[in-house]
Amino acid sequence: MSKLGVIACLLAFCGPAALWSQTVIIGYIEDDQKQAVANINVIITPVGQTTIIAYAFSDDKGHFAVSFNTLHDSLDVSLSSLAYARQTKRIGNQTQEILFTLIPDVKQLETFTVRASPIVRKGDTLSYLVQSFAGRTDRSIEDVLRRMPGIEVEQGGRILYNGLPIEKFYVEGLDLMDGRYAPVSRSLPHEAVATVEILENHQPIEMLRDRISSQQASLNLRLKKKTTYAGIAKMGTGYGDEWLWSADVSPMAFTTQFQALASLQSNNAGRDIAQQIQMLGLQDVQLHPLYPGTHSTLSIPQPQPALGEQHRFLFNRSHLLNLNALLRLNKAMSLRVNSHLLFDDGKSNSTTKRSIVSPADSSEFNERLSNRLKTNLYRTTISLNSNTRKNYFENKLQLEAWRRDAKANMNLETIRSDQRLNQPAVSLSNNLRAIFPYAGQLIELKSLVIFESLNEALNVKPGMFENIFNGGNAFGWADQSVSVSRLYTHQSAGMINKWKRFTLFPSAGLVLSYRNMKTQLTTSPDVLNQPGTDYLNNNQIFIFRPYVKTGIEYKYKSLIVKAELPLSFHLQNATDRYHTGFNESGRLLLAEPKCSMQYQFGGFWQAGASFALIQRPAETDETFAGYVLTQYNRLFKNQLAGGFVSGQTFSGRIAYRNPITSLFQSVAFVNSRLRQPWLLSTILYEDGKTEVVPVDIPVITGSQSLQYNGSYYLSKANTTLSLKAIAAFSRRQQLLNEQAFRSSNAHLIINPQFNTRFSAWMHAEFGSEFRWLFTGARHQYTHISKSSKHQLGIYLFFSENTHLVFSNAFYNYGSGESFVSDLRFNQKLNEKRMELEIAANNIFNAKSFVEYYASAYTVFEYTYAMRPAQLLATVRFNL
Amino acid sequence: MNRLIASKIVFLFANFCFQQMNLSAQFFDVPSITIDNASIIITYELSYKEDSNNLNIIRKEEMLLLIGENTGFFAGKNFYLFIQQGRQAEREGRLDFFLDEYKLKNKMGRFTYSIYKNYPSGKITFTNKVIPTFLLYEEDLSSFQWELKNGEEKVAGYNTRQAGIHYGGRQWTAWYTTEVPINEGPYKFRGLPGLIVKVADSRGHYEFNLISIERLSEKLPIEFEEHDYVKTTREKYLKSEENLRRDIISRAREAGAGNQSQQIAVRNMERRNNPIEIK
Repeated sequence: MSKLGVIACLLAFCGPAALWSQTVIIGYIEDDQKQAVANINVIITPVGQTTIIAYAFSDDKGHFAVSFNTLHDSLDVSLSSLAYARQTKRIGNQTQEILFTLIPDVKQLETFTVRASPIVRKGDTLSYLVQSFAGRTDRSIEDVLRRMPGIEVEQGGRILYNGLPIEKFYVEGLDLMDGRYAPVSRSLPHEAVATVEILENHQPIEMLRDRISSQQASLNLRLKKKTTYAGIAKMGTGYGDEWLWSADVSPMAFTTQFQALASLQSNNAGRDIAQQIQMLGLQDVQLHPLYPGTHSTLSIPQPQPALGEQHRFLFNRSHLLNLNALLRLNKAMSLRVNSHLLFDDGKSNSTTKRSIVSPADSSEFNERLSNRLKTNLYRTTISLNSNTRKNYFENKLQLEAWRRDAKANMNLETIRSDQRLNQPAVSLSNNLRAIFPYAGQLIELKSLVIFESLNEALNVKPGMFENIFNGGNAFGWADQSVSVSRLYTHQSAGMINKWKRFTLFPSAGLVLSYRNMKTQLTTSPDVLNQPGTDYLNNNQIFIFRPYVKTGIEYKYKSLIVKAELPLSFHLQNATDRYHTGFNESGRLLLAEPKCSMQYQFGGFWQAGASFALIQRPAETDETFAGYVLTQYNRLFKNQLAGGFVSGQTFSGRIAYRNPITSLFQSVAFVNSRLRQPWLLSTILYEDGKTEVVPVDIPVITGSQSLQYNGSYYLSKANTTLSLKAIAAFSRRQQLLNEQAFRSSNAHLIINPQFNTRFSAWMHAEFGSEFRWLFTGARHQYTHISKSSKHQLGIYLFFSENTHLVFSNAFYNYGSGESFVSDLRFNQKLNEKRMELEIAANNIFNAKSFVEYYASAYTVFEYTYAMRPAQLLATVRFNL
Repeated sequence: MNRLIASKIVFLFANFCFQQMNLSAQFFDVPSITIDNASIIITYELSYKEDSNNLNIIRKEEMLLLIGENTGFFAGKNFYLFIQQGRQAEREGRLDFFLDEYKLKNKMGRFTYSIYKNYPSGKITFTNKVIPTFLLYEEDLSSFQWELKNGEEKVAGYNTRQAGIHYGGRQWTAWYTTEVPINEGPYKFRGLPGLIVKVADSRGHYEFNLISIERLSEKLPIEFEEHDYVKTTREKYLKSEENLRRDIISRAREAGAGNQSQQIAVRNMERRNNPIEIK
């Protein structure tokens, strides 16, 4: 376009009014190569002044236009940019066209001022002097941390730096608590701490520091003294049907080379403190193939209340000692010991109605059960950690010893049965993880070695199975002992390769497992037929299983396809001293291919599907040729040591999730079919006792489930509506009293829910759950259990420091109903750093609660006795 | 007990977010196009008060502005580095390792949006993932009309002038310097005859301050990630963020949180009641 043309266009753009009232400067900017230059700042100022009258930027074609009103006679037009030398032209105040030719002049970084951060930093470390931040009312280091710029402490004690949670919490560079640092930050007086260091971009594994840099910070406390003692205490008391207590005292000590934290807790208020020392999430050992975990063969009847409701049924006296200590061996290496000692004594009362549904008839058995379970547990984990720039090494050696003493008094319809179960166990395990670089790849080695020994003894009074042992006459007692020792090892190595859109992750490993099981059944001397070798086991099962695993993943845009092919050679050898039929050795080549795909489309939609073939050896822990009295009323044996489980599973899911309308819906479907090598044949006696033996007939189990989840947010009503619906079906071949049939189970759950926020200080929720449990045989559901639960919760937040929760639940089931209400009040007393909680549970003193479970052709109706109304006040303060 | 629940809900949420992200695990190494090459990185510190009921709580986060020849790119520093490192790890086949080490503990920072300025030409493109969808909207650059003010002031070591604008329901004041001839600034702000070294809203809830300017020895590509975006409008985007905040209860339930934990999650989300753009 000619320059005249440009002017014409720009004048037209500026509008006719501009022609009369404004000065219009239009221009063209080019470089010394006559190329148009874009994005240049053009500033108009009066001569000798800095006030900007107008400004503009050059466009892609080097043009600019600027219009303004000013009375100044002459003006400066200044051009500036990063890549060219600054240029100024002085012009008269009249509409005109100007041409600029700029000379390249790349400005150096040094010409810009870099403002120093307000806090002086040394490398990646920021230091805060605690004294200068501490206030008069502050007690713990947590109080002072709240005042430090960039640091935040959440209600749960989690510390954030610049809005992100810190990775590690060190005291003098040592990580005593392994992430559970709140007891330290809350209990350590700030007077003991000299400085708080924020280690920015801190990668705890040193060898990864150049490979994976961390954006997350860690926090380190530098102490004033070489030795510091601190602590926290929580005391609660109240009354239910007896005097209640709840106590927690946690002292701690820190030195530069050695640190320790102890915690002593005790209560009889229904709080299950054993849960605290349980691992959350998937434990490492569960990732190892063929490791069954510590497996109990014997059991006594115990009610299993629904998840989250245990505190209503637990009549307990629990004591826990939790000890943690860390010793620094040298700069890179540390030794940490975490020990737990638990004495847990729990009681519960329940009644059970057991209904057995068979094609011929249905039978019902009523049992009243009073339970006492004492658990003593001792666990020590010793971790040795070496963390250098060349490699990473962590070894955890764990010794665990526990003893469970369980007692059950059962009142059956006709007889009374007293049972005792003692289960002392010991296990020693070593878990190693090492990472090192090799040929540009990271290689990870894992090793697990476990030795465990479990001795179980079940005493049943009076003895059961009178027809078998004593010609139908009652007899004194039966004692069943089971002793299992096992050695399990798993070693593996793996690496990851990437090629274009494919990722390959090959790995290889070896599993070695040896198990010895000895069992014996003895009966009181008055028995006619003393149990013989049919009731003895002394077997050994050895497994050798090398494997290779090839995984491949293909990824393109929003499509991911994964396939995995694990190939293993399974060699198993079983022998038994008393049962020659048990001796068997087998070799199997097992392949368990699986594949999955995910695809996202249309922004809001997501679809996924997976398919897997299953081929695994049958569970060896349930394999023994002689009978074992596994429960007071169950004689079980399984001499079929070989065989494997095969089958396939398919799952699919489609989801629509629209955040704009806040509508979320998903439908998921799972179909699985499993073929097990044997069918369990059950002989059910009239009094409810069972005798279970496997029959060499393969059995097929089929199950399907369909689940819908949906939620919608009604913004006008400030309410979230949601609906969950589940339908699940399973069918399996059964052999009951020599009658073969197919059992069918169906579950239907519908759960609508409303949550409303009336205001910032008041929330309410209402939800109902309707459950139907269908059980039957031969395609007919002959037994239906119905139950429902309706909940109303009101939450009142009076202030940041005060809140009240009032929750109510109404349970309705076939044989009755119950209503449970709880009230909880929390008040923080900031000035004294104290917190008060008053909780009234089961205000209307509901006595019992019912739950239904179904297992194949058996339906259980459990009625639990609830803890009575109780009031508990708890105060928390620092030592 | 309350604190235990609070920490549990945080865990559940981290877990929930991880699950959500895992379902679209390709967000690291998604196909992308290079729209420009940056030669300068400018870092700002954002101070913000996201709970209007507790204005004494001031959070801070560092934000990055990449200056290309024609395009500017603005994002949270933590988020930018997280994505870059995740992508690098994924390309090198170390993704599982990366995720394992990082456990995705909310390390992306509080702000996960990306702002592309003058891309496409004459537009601002804003992208963000509002769980579970990638949303995108455009605005005209011409909608940012600054009003220049008189007077000079020394800010961050530069001689600056002020300019004002009403945007997103807030009245903003920018301090810009002609000493740095870059017509860019933090967030969506740009178009002044010099670098914006500070910009703050009249209520003191949001404030961006220049920390550093760095010229890069090698040019850094400004990449536009080609997610499966749902194109929407600014108004609908703000609505979807509001919905996420208000409807967090259903996401908490999906993550397996108990009733009380859900209520605490609601309370926590309600503390984020003061977004940068109100309307």
